[in-house]
Amino acid sequence: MIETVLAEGGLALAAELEPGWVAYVDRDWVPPDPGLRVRALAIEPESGEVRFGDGEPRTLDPGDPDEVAARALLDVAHEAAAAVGRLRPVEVRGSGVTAGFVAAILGIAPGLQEGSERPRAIVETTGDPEAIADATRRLADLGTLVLAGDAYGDRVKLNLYPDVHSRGLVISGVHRPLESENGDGRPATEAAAPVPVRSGEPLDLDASWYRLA
Amino acid sequence: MPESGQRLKGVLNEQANRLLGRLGYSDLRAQESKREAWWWLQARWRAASRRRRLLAGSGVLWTGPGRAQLVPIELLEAGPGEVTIELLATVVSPGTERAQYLRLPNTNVGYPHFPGYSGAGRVLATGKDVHHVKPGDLVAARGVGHVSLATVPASLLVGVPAGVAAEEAASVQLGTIAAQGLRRAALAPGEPVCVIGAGIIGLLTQRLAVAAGAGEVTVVAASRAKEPLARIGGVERFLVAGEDAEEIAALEAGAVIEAAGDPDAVRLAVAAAGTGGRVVLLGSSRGVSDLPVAEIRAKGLRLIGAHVETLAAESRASGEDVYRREAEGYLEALAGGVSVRDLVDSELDPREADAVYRMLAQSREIVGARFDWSRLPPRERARSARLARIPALRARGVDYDGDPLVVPDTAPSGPPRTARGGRPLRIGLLGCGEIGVTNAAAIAAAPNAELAACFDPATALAQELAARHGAKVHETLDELLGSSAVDAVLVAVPHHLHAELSVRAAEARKHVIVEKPPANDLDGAIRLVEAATRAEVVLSFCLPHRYQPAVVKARELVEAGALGAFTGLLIKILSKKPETYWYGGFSGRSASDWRASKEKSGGGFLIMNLCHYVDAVHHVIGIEPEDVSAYIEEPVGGRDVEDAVSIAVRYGNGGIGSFVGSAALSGFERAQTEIRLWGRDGHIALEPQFATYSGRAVDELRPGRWQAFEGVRGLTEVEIRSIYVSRLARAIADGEPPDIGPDDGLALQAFVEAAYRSHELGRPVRPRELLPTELRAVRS
Repeated sequence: MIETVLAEGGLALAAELEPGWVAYVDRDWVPPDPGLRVRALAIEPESGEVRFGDGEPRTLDPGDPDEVAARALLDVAHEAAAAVGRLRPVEVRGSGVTAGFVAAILGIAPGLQEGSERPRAIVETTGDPEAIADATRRLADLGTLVLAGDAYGDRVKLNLYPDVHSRGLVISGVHRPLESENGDGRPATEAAAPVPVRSGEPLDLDASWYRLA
Repeated sequence: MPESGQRLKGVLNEQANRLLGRLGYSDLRAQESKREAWWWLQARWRAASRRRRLLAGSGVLWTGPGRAQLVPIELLEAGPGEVTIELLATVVSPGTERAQYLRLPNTNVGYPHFPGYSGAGRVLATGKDVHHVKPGDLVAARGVGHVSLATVPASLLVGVPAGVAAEEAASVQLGTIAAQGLRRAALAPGEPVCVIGAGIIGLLTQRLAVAAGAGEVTVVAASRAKEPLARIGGVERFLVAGEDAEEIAALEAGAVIEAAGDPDAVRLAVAAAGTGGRVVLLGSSRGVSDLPVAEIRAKGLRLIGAHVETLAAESRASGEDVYRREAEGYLEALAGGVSVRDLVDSELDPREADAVYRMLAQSREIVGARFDWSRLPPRERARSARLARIPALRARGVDYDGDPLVVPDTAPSGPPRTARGGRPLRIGLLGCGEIGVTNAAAIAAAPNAELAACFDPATALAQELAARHGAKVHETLDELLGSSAVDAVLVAVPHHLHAELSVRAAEARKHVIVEKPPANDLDGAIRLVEAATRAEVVLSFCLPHRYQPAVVKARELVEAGALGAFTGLLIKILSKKPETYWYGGFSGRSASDWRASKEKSGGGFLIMNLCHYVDAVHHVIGIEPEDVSAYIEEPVGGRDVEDAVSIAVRYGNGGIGSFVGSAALSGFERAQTEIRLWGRDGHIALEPQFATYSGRAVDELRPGRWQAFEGVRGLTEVEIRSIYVSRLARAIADGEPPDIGPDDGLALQAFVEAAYRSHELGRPVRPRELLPTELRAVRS
């Protein structure tokens, strides 16, 4: 189990990993407050066993765990980009590696897009309730919100009438890592290497993802 | 409106409030008067500035929170690009309108507000550049409130295909909502679909899905109440949320349409959806939902918001009138056999708007309903308006403290005095004291009765009264009872003698008329009833207040449904009897102290005075008291009868009553009386002013307004007793039962007895259980 703690120097991850396992945490999966549970992608390099959060473990081809993790997250990014389709303008809301992958696939920079036109699609990679509500309000009518993260819990409080129903928005959920059957074989996209961190060590919040060992 | 305009409006509003406040207007009346003034001005300004004809009709208006009424409206005839239609039916959208009426979350209703958005009617006039409809066409209209007449942009109308009736086409907007939701689900032919919710939108969606060739259709609802309607519409599976969770989760539906409008329904919809499925959010959820984002992601679902207003955005994007396409598609589906009649089968009278919305607020079982505008008189539906009309600024009848409207052409009600037919009923009067004088005059005034004989132990009283009316004086009771010139006797003696004299009269085969109360106690009343039954003579009790025109009218109103279900009544009588009353009544005609004796009179204020009103109100509501709880004031002044009572009553239907009063209230030499009856839908005030307020469309009443019956005057004691005697004489001549018979007398006596016993026992007493089984009449 991994949770956020307040260490000297800032927010840190406290982890109790099984021996031999490596955990990967997207920056967007780190809640802003201490004491909150953090979902992670855990890999056992020897066996190729991979697990996301509480999900069922799967066995992938053994390999460099950084690359396995990157491919799993890239898979999510491809799903998200597919959900956007040709809708433009589009924004990617997040600062983690997954958001970076999605932006790269869509050919845009992550974050709010300049310009007066409201986006017709937004990919949200944090799962932050406020960010989701904000995204629905920012979208143009009949726009699409792609949910590519749920780091803040299984449920999000949302007033569907004004924020979705009356404006004809579409909310599209894309699969969690490892749950897609068709992502394996896609070309990898260049990504920064995960920043190695130890349990209890302050995080570099500018990093896009972390490797806990 | 620009800021300066808002400021000006605010200042004018404040000044108007001050002025109206000085004129004694309540807030409610002031609000109505200002609205009338503003609307009057606006309508004339627009008519003048646009050189258009002004029309008048009626519309359902929410004037404030929880208040609805039918009001006159004025509007311009169609201008360029517009159409004027006379509505035949407008459909109530129960979910939306209930939520708006109750001001539930996600509704934003300002007042005054015209509810409704879907109807159908005939085109009265078209403006320039309108080509797709013409006068006389039957059209379906979106965006029209519950009004009899509307001028709308032509784009809001679609023609109704042959074979579709107005009441079906009036559901056009609801059908369009359902149809666009279904379209956004992008159903493949034969694809199973799950609809969450069995309200009118859910059921319409389900029926349209079947018509569109969907595969198995499953409906998930909060209860099984709507299952029959769903089955009629072709539903194969009907599941209940909370009961069938496993079956719902196992549905794995490719398309789920959430049409419940409940914040929790989205979780149900997500649970019912299979991997990669579509969930259409069609219902307007009234609150914040817990969106199961993890499950949405895990299943890779698409949640699709589908509000009918987004059709405008779709139209702009596509360049096509998407609304018209959906509406026409829906009407074609109706023409093709999709049934909607059973979903909007409740016909509503627009005049009953207040009751309609209260019903809607209280019940979630209503599927659909429609206002039937043909119920209004033609003149109230559509006519030319007079520009020179003076605005109705008095807001009369809008609240109880204001001036009520006068009910037009209300003739004094009451049973007519029957004409003389054959030989008059010859009545012998037993007791020529105070009330005897009144009864003698009443008999003399009745066209089919005559005062034939008088008897009183105080012979001088009998002689004096007989002389006034040409009657014979008898020296003894037996002599009068043995006279063949007497058909009936009227017993007007001290209460403790009622039973004895009535029994003797019955045994002498005379019809018996007993002044109220029937006796000084219940045993006496039972004895005299049994004696009359044995002797097979007519027995009637003189309870003439039933013939007061207001009481007669009130009963008519209750029977016509003006109150709806009876829920309560109040009688309050505040008075001060002079001390001389206890030694000779009000008139002092016959010196006696029987009134101050519990043994002789049976009691004080209750049995002596209040019982008239008890009988009258029970006659009006026609419901038997279930139990009676009473507190009786301890006697004072050397008397052993009470001056004041406080009685609480529970009625057979659950209604309640409160009877309070005193005959010893300083400063109330002139009695003050308040009598009110009310029900779920209305209120009748018999005293101090006869007025009514009803939400129901009853006869000449205007629903949602206080109305007074100024034509209904109070009759004198002699006049009401004369009517009583006359009708009794007619009944006896015709061999018919009297208006007021043994059951009525026993019911009154049992009520009085129950009140006195309740005080003694300190607990409620059931009047009905005080009567022998064979004498319990059935009243409900």
